[in-house]
Amino acid sequence: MAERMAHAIETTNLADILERVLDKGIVIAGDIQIRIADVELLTIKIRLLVASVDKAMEMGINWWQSDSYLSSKAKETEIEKENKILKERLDRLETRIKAD
Amino acid sequence: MEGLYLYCIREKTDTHCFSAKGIDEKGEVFVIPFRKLEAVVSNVSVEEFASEEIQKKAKEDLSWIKEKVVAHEKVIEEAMRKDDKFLSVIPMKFGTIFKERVRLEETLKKDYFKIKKVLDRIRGKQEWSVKVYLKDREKIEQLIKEKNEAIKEKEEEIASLPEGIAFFMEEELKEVISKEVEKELSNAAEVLFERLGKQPVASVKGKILYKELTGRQEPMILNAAYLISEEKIEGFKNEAEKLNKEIQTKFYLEYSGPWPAYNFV
Repeated sequence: MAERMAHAIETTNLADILERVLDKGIVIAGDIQIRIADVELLTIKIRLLVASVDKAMEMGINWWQSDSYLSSKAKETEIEKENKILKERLDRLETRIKAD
Repeated sequence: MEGLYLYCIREKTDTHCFSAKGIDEKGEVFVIPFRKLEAVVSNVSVEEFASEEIQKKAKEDLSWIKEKVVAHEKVIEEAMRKDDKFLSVIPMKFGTIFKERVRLEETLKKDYFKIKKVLDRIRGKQEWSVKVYLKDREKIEQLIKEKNEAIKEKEEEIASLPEGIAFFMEEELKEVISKEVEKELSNAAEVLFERLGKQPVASVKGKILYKELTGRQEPMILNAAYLISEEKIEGFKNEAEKLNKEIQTKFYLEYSGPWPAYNFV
């Protein structure tokens, strides 16, 4: 089995970030506090979400768990690209229809 | 109305430029100095962040939560870096907003010595995370079966019984074995936790995170954080790698850092 060691902070699992940002850190009383569920509740939410979908692997698990913010960014640009291509196709079709 | 979202507090620096955007993805991140400290903040719309819609999203919308939590962390990680060095920062819990600058300054004034004390304690030290996962539960089960005389005897007894009774006894035995496995795993976790705790100045055991959150097939058996003096980081990493080799038939170990000292503030 390949050894998984020495992660740079950028590639660390999202779980590490969630655990720290949601459950740790100093609490200073501000004027407004946005309250997010703690890690325990979050786990339950994800479990429910995954359980309610047939294709859990396709939809839930990969989407929520394993992508880092870097790969989610990559996904965004991919969608943007796809959108652009689709728009261009639509434009061409529309002009063709008008021309007919 | 413009408010201030607070990410972290650190000692005053001369680096005030941030490339990360604020929690709302548009506000610039900047610092508010106060005596020897500075607060790392960004402007946010008070109306937006005080709205019911946001409070609702924070409870229900998983992708919103993920996005915001990562944005919060990214700002703090940038605030920690100065050239190739790491600064000590006090990370805030998610979601603290002040309506006005003067309200934040009042808080800094009120808690000034408390904050200074925490910064003094973590100066020159880094938080590192260590997580250990179980590779193969059956292997542990097998070892217990071989080692534990009472279980061995029970198995032999079951083999000589009629099927119907044997079934119930087998179920009982499974439960006993499962409890033994849990005991073995928690002992192993304790030993690993102690072993890595020799060089750090402080250590803390966190909650075991479920598979839903870790995205791993293997269950976690140890989730630890260590506070380590800068000069001992290399030694700590070496120890972690050595340990990973020693345990590799049953477990694997991962370490990461430096983290903002979330576990030691």
